[in-house]
Amino acid sequence: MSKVSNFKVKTLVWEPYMPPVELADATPEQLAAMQVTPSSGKVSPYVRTLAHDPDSYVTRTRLFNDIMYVEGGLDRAERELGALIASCINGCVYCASVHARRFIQLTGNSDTIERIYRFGLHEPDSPRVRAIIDFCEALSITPPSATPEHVAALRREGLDDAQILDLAHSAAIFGWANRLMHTLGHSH
Amino acid sequence: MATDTLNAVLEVGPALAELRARRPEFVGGTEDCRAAVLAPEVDVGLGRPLRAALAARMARLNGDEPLAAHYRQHLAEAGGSDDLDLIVAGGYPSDDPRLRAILRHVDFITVAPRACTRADTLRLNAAGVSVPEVVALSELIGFVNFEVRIAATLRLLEAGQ
Repeated sequence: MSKVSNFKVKTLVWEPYMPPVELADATPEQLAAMQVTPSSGKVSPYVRTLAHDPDSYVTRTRLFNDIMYVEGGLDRAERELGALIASCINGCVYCASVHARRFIQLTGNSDTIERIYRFGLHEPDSPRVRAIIDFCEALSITPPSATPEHVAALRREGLDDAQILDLAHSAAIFGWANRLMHTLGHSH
Repeated sequence: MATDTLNAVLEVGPALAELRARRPEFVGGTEDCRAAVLAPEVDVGLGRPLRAALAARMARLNGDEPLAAHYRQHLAEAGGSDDLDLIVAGGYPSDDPRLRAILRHVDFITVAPRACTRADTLRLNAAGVSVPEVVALSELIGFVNFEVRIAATLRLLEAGQ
């Protein structure tokens, strides 16, 4: 792969707006949700914030991991692209930075990420990347506005319906994660 | 057969049902999340009737009447009221500052999450919404906004079969 750019996305730190659960005060259910054991080290402020509602945290984390990492179907890097596009639409700078870096790690393609960071979501790219960006953008706005034309473009680029549904899951689970991370705290 | 609420709500055909069944983790995981946000075993606040009414309100903001009808079933099971029906319809049933802050936040984060600032979130606390309730509310908002997007995609795929 020819690399024109060597664009890097900075690592950010996330800080909650509200006090997170302190381990010393945590209920057994919260400790279990955070997977705290006598040997575990620090738990991130994000996890401790979400541990205020341990049931939701545990169930959503399991679903999140399945959507992003389950075997087969859509390529992992393209799931990361779905996550990135949703995060751009929803203004979650932290999530965007994490998944932009993962996309670069998995593909070696920093050109796509540089274009998105410098110029936004509407720059020329490969037809496949364009089809993925356009679908995820339309799906992520409220109300979701993806059309049969978006789906047809994905099919033309070789995605089957199972892969399109995988892509929708990656963008949609970030519609959820962004609505947590971007509203419960900020990054710098 | 495992429950797949979206298949039932959308009345998907056999081809799409087969597609859904290829990802049992997604289907089962979504059902577990639905229970956690709509009918949690340990409710940190909010209560089941309000959760269901808010979910229906958000589905309607997303233009998804079938999903709104599904969440209204949750509301009927949890115990509805005229005030809760008004919430579903997008209204503000009272001047109670806590409820008004919740409704405003639900609408705002559904439609324009990127515009949310520290002041928007802390306004909830100031109106009497506890920190665990804000987190639970955010998870509920996130879930419904997730589910409407999966529903939208399933409809597109069904139409293209």
